[in-house]
Amino acid sequence: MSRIWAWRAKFYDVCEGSQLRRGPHKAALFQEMSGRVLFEAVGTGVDIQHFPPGRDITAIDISDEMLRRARPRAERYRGRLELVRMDAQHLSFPDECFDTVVTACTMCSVPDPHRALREIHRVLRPGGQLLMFEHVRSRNRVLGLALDLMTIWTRWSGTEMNRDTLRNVQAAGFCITRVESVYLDIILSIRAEKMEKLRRPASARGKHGDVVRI
Amino acid sequence: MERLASHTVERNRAGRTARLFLLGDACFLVVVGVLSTLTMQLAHEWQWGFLLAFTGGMALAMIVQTLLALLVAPLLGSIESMVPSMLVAMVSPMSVCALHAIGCEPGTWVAGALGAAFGVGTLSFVMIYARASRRWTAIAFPGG
Ligand SMILES: C[S@@+](CC[C@H](N)C(=O)[O-])C[C@H]1O[C@@H](n2cnc3c(N)ncnc32)[C@H](O)[C@@H]1O
Repeated sequence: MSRIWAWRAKFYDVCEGSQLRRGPHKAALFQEMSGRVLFEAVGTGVDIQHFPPGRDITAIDISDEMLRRARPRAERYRGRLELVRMDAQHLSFPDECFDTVVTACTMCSVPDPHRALREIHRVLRPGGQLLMFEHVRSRNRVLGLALDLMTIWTRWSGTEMNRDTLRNVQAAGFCITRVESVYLDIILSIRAEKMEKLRRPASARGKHGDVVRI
Repeated sequence: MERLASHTVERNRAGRTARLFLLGDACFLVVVGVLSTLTMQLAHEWQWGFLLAFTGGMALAMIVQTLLALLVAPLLGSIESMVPSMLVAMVSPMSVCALHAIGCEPGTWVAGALGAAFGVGTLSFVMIYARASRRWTAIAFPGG
């Protein structure tokens, strides 16, 4: 898979580099980054221009070629930004070590989004926020069908156009606190939270001790 | 007071940008509609027989649409150009086929006008659905 992304890295900025339309929406979402931040799938670094200054960010991607192209952009960032090659489905960070996790067109690209979301849930501290800029399958039948058809060929280049990311986020145990439509119900700006564990008094505690606030 | 003024400036700028993108979308969808429909019309004029004209015309129309969408993607966005133009390039050429099937052969101008009309129609659908999507996110996720 990383070979496909190495190949796509060569053309990526031609189609996606300008960020004319999505840039302001991404900037507004990324403004909420706080504490220690993990950015997943940084690609060629087109998102870095929208990062608020002065943050502490670790940005990962599976493709060396993408990261090589992201480096000059990362060097211009006014804050701490470290680029690391890593698979979003197998993060090598300890549990609960990030305050914010950010994804941008990541869940359409990882082979197993459920696994990637479980990993995010693991590395995020309780109460930490998940910020996502993702495209998903439309709820409209005609648009949904168009996205299904497109996926037949975009799949070969590593992109699934018809994932149900909102449902996947909830299934991974996050609480979605805000969704904004960027383009129809296809490109969404999402904010979710990892629910905090509550310790109930011993008398009220169940078999497993901890309970989760919903 | 100053914050309110800067908020208003920001909103005006966002409104202007949205209108520019709308104009871009409109021009693009009309061009896709016209060119993909003319492609299908051409396929029928080549007298390949209905079935071949239909399948060959559809394939060519999709190629035209994909190339146009890739061309404008840096300006209008990849998904924002690919998804609605795919609808136009699927439906509009089929209308030419439907006319041929009932023995009513449209000329180049009629085919072009049909394509433009489908482009405008798709734009209207996108505008209405954009509003519905914003309403849906606001109701389903009221934190936004
Ligand atoms: C569509 S690009 C998104 C790039 C950028 N965030 C943007 O919005 O333009 C998807 C990125 O995901 C990366 N990717 C794919 N699978 C991955 C995985 N399993 N782990 C980490 N990154 C992955 C690819 O290398 C590519 O850079």
